[in-house]
Amino acid sequence: MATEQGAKEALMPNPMHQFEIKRLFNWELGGIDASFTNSALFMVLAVVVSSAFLILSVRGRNMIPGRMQSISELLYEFVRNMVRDSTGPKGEKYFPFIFSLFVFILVINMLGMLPLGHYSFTPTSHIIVTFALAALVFVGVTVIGFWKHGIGYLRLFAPSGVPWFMMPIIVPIEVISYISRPVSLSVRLFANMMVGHTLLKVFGGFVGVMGIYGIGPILLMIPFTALEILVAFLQAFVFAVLTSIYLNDALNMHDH
Amino acid sequence: MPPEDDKYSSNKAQNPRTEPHEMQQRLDDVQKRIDKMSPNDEKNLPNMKRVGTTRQSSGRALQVGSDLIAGVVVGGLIGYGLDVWFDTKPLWLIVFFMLGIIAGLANVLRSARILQKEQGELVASGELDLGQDLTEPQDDDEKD
Repeated sequence: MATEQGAKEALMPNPMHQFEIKRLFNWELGGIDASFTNSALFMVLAVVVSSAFLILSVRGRNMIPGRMQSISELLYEFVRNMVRDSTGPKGEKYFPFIFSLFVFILVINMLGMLPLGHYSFTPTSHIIVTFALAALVFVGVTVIGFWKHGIGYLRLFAPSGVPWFMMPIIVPIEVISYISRPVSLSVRLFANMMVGHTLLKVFGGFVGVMGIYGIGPILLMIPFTALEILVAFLQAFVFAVLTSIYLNDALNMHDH
Repeated sequence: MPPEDDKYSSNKAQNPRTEPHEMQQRLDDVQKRIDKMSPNDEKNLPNMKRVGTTRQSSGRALQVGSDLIAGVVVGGLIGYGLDVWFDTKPLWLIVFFMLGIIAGLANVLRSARILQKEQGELVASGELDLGQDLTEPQDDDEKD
């Protein structure tokens, strides 16, 4: 069994190989390794692709939109409704940020689904990338909260209607819950992307090993790929929804 | 539709630069007119509404897991930090670990409720594992 497995191992590509960071060119910035990697390349690509698409597709400004313009408008309205529903009129100002965040993550996830062989890469399958995004949201929301409510923002940690003797327990729990937001936000996106991609690669590995019976895993991979595209969309959406929910907490504290 | 369109486009031509609240007012205006023309129009974004119908339990596990783990990890780290600071080795770690578990569970409940609501709206038609409780059951031919 063990030797058989060893022989098969050679046929199967390592499912974790796709997450490898490769340096495209080296760059040292004040003693810090700021090399341009494939991860950075895909993030730049996502910015370029999404900006180019959104700018070019609405350039016509037609009253009756064409196909491309419809996609952009659909995307815009979709995020807009979501932001308006969860933050109300006060959140209107922050819509551009949430829209950018959503489109950025969505395009990164979708670019990661492109079958580019060894060049294929999904930055959101690295927790440091998702954590950076989540930390940006966390710091931003906290700053907005203190800016709007001053020191009163701390009341967020002491929900009304809780008897005073429960406070020593409730307050630490609320604080932990608040601090854990960026962690859960980043872990959710990262775990979903990484697990899905690994699963697909493992199935892909089976195809080579099983010879003619490889048709089985291929058939299985079709729905899984569809599911993965769905997850790529849904996770970008979930990230944006939770961001606007957190923003709502900071803007309209009484809702909490 | 055409006369309404004309009104809107001429309006737009008169003042191309508008403040956000004006914009909001105008958009609400337009929305009201659209609603008047097509009452009970639930068919916006037909494709997006079906997103998530095939959501699997593995996705739900990750959803719940990340919240729970985040609470426990943050609680544990705070406890460990306090222990290092005050040199009271296991005391705060134990206390905050337990608080972290509770906070994690609270996270799970909270974000489950949020996502259930949002995804329930997103998939107002069709079955959805995550949002079953809040989406009213509707007949859908595309159920498998």
